[in-house]
Amino acid sequence: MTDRTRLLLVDDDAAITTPLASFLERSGYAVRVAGDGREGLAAVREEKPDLVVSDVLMPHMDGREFVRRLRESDPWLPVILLTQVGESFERSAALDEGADDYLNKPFDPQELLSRVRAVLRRASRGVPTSQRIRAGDLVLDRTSRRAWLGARELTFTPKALTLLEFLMTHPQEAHSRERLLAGLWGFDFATSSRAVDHRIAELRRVLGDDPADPRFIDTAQGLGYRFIAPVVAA
Amino acid sequence: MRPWLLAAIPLALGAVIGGVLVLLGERRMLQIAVAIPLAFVVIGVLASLAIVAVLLVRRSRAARIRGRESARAEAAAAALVSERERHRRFLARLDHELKNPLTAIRATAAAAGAQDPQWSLVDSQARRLGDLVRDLRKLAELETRPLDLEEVDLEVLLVEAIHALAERDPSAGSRIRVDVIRVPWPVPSVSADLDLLSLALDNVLGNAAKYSDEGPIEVRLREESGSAVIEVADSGRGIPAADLPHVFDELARAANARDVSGSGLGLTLVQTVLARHGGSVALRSVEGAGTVVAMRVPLG
Repeated sequence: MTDRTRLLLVDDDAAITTPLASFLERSGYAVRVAGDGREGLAAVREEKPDLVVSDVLMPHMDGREFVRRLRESDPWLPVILLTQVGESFERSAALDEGADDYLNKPFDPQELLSRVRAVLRRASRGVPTSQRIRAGDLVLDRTSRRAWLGARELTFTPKALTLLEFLMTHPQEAHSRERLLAGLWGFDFATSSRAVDHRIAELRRVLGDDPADPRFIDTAQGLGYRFIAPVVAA
Repeated sequence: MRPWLLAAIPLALGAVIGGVLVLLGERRMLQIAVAIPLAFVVIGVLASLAIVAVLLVRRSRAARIRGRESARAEAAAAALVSERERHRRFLARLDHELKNPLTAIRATAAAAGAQDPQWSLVDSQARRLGDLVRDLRKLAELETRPLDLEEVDLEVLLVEAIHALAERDPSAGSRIRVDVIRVPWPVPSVSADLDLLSLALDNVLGNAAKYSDEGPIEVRLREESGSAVIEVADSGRGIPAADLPHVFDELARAANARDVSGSGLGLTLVQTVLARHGGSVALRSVEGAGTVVAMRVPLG
């Protein structure tokens, strides 16, 4: 037995799993590899990992089916999905189906490493996954897509609301503009990061949040944005 | 006169001549008198029928030609749509098929150690390749993806875009002069996809900064013939005349731009975004003198 954090890597492409496992091992994790969803479920039954990194497109049982089955027996085991399809709706679908985070292929392995760390931190902190969440007097109902500040209901554009939901469900983490764009907008042209700034400006305006002295959204200098208020189930 | 009235003339003429002969004729000549007018009437009817037949033939031939022309135009439009769709599907497949090999290359480079300069080169080139294919695919998707329309104040958009450029490149920012026509009335807001429009504007401003090391960059906003017009003009290196017809093509780069990094997708993106808004983009350039790009977005 090892006391290192255990990762299960599920992907059918050995050209990826071999070097990726070696990279993650070198970064201090104990890594086990499974070739598809079925093998992945068997591996989890055999020895429960601390976190699962799974591809989406695999033979026999794909990543989505794998996450669904995994959630039946273990609702809290953190999962990062490696999505293949570039469309944003595919990626938010990955989150809807119970994955804790996702990364679009081809990705920077260093980025995977920081996601692994962030998801493990989030899991240990117990960030609420409930449909109604609260940060101070800001309440967000994720099902009805409505938000209130105190008694006042807030009006956002759909993109701003999606961004707020993402930030509130990933609090205290700095998110680069590129990551937010790729995840929430579905177009991640290298030069388009101002689209995020527009929506952050809208969120701040509606929330009355002063960028110089923020209550909710802080600018992480040279990187992007961070939701700083503690988030709890409402 | 309508051509169909022509057909009635011989019939009427035959009837009139026949009628007159009957009325004026002697009784003993009755048989002959009836036969001759009848002959004129019959000739008139036959001539009318002949004219009607000629007109019918001409009309059906014209309809056939019109039908063939419109079928040809429809087929050409359908072929263009299906060609773009094939192009889009090909890029989606290419992007998809490259994902796993590129992930494997980047994982291998990471496992070998980021400090190794050779592996770091492999990694950066793999990333570049991935970005290029991804951008090509997304560009093709832009042609059909739904627009997220909202009211956009172009002056605000312009000021923000210039501010963002000045933050990235202070020396370019200091060379920008803005001229917004507000009299007798300001340029009305347009219904547009804010993200896409600012992407297009960023690209054009970025190009002006990239391809002119010195000299002013003039940005103008005005209303003209039912459109809002944004012009970005620089006094930079310009584009060689031979390259001008291809500036909006995917991956096209001017012969004198090899020393400046770029994907050759920026102006294609600008053109696609403007076209999706029912607008247009035009570029004029003289090598060694500068370039002016005019983007038009229809009002209302």
